[in-house]
Amino acid sequence: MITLLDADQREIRDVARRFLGDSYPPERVLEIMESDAGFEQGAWDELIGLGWAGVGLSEDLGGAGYGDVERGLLLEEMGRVCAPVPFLSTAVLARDLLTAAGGTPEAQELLGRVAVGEVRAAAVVAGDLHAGPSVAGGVRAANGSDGPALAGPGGVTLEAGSAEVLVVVAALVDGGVGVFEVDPDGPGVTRTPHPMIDATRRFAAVTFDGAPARRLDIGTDVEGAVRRGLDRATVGLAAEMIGGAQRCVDLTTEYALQRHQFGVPIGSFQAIKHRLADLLVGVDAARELVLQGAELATAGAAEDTIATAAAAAKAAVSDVYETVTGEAIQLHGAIGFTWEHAAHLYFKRARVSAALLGRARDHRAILGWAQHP
Amino acid sequence: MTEPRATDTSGVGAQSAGGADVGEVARHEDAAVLGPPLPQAPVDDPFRLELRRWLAEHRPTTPEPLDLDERFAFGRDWQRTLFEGSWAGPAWPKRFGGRDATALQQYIYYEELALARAPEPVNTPGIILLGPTLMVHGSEELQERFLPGILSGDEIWCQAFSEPEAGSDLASLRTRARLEDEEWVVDGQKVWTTWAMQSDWCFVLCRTDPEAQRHRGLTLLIMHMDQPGVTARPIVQMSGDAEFGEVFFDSARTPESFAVGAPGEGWRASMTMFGFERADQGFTDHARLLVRLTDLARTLREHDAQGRLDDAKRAEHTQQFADLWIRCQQLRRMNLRMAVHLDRGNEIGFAGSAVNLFWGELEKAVAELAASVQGVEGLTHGTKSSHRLLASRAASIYSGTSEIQRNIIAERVLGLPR
Repeated sequence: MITLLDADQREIRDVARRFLGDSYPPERVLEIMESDAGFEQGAWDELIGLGWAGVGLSEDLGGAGYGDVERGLLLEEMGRVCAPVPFLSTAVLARDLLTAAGGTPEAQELLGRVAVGEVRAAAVVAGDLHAGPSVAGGVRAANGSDGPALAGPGGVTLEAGSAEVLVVVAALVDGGVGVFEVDPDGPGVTRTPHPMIDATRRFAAVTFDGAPARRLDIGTDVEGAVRRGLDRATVGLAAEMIGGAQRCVDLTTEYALQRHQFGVPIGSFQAIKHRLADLLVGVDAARELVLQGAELATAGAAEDTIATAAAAAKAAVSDVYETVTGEAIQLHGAIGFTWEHAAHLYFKRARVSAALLGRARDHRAILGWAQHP
Repeated sequence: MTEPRATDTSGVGAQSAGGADVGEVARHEDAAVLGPPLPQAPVDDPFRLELRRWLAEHRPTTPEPLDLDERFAFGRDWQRTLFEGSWAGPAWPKRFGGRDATALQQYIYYEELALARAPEPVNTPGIILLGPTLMVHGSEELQERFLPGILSGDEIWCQAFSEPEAGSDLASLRTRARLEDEEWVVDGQKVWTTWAMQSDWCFVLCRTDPEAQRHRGLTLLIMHMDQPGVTARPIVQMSGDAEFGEVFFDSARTPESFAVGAPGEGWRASMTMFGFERADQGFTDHARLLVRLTDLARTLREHDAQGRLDDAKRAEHTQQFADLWIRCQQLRRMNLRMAVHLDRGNEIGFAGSAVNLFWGELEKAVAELAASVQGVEGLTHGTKSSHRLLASRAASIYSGTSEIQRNIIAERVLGLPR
């Protein structure tokens, strides 16, 4: 279908698609999924080597340039193959939080390292699946004799297990929140793997008990900044999700063309055609909001404009991805229900991703009539 | 650490390129209704500002009547006002009374009409379909004779294509025309002809070669409605209006030169027409729906203030409203995308079918929610919300049913076998 992407953007997308298609055929995804680490170091190093961790971050902040649209295209392609890589956690969620809310020289230095993939970061923010109403979740900061120390449950956290540094949002004693850097291998940090049905990503429950922390923010409107970072990351997640949704439509269409029953391809039955047409239009329409969110973020639109756009994108994409993956299994018949077939990877990815950074229902709640102009 | 942010250009008070205070012109509180600013169709675009200024002065000051005859008269008067401001058909070439507007400017035109709560011109079959088709396939004589009257609304037009046995399958049509003494003589029947009873002229797709099958041997003819051989009979819709009708041709006549395009090439002229219809489809609609949602939000806030919403209703309506608002934003992008591609001269493929399908379902859903929020009033005979609830059912049927659009998308876009 037609798109408002320009030629350079389409080129970025096509190159990413080829690279990821080669790196992550479905059988390999299944293998990596079943491994202990949950991602392949070699493949990860290759992706970092391409500079992807810095895409969407300006060069003077240590990034690779380009904007959220281009990062979104990379994410879309990663989502398309259900790539088992800790990219969303470090180059999106943690990086966006650091960019928005980090203010100290240490924060700047950490951001630079994350942007070149030198270190993998995971964000502990907003509790379980980063979806809670309070950005600090259950984590509190106290001032110890050697500096700040964190305590409390961080919740089920994206890629905390493979992280080399944690970026944590915690409630301050005097009110408000702060952003902290914590060494996950240091004292007072417990990471307990929390296996989800989507094993292409790893989650761990993080708990703090007097964990030494280094302050990263400079205390001005930190909560607002954190929310801005979350909004931006939400658009990134939506981009990744829509890539998976499109792949399901493509896979199911291929199947409908090649599977013959009653002497004809099953795709010639109108019921199949109509369901696939609806799925395609739904995916296409949702992608437009992903693109819109990314464009607005890059253009530096007003905070509430981006917040609204992120909520709309996430809500639209979540519903579509869940629907498409259910339909994909159904339209494949019995093989769609097997472990060996890729359909379940997307089904599981869709549902866990829909819960990550806020469910559709919660995003719609801020787009209701009460907030409308 | 936060990245520098460009100024949000949607603010009231910014200066436009022409020096006029945008705030003064953009005092629509509704302008925020459309959604986030889109750089491709900016708020301070000169075309938009000029139209907005003109609309602020000339738009209708009374609401559109519900009664069909009154609504038609209202629409006709409004079209004349648009015509006098050179705003009746901006997409038309300047030499025919238009403004050579780009597709993007048309997109903006319909947004502004909606924000001004002004109806579209009443003569849309002429302005959107036949007029542009005449410019491509019609003789100079036909262009000179008919184009001015289309735009001014002095002559009302209807499109006589569908037949009782030829709806989705238009190529199976049977209305026939034969040449006799330099006139076409037409026999047959058309149905679902919008404004048939009010029209002065129609454009009829006829079979002129009885040996030819389906889309071959067809001719597009212009015919005068006011003649003994043409009878228009109203068909009442479920909304109570008779906005369309059936048209019977019984040895009806029209000059030989009133063929649009060559005889036998009627399908080609029709394909051009369908192209204009596809390109126009949905441009008109996202803004109208967003204005309705704004009104709906206002109603819900009033109801809330009156204590008419319990927690369950409040939550339910929030979800329903947000879902529809999201879908309107999607339609807005899909329309914008089409406009941008049309202006680049790119193939839009079957994007029009996706828009048509998406919009048809959305139109019905908005009408359903609005009626349900209105409670008893939404089901009371003669109210705007009940009328819209009923009238909206046509959205997924006319200009291609949702089922046909799905077939087209499945076959032409996904490549599934026909």
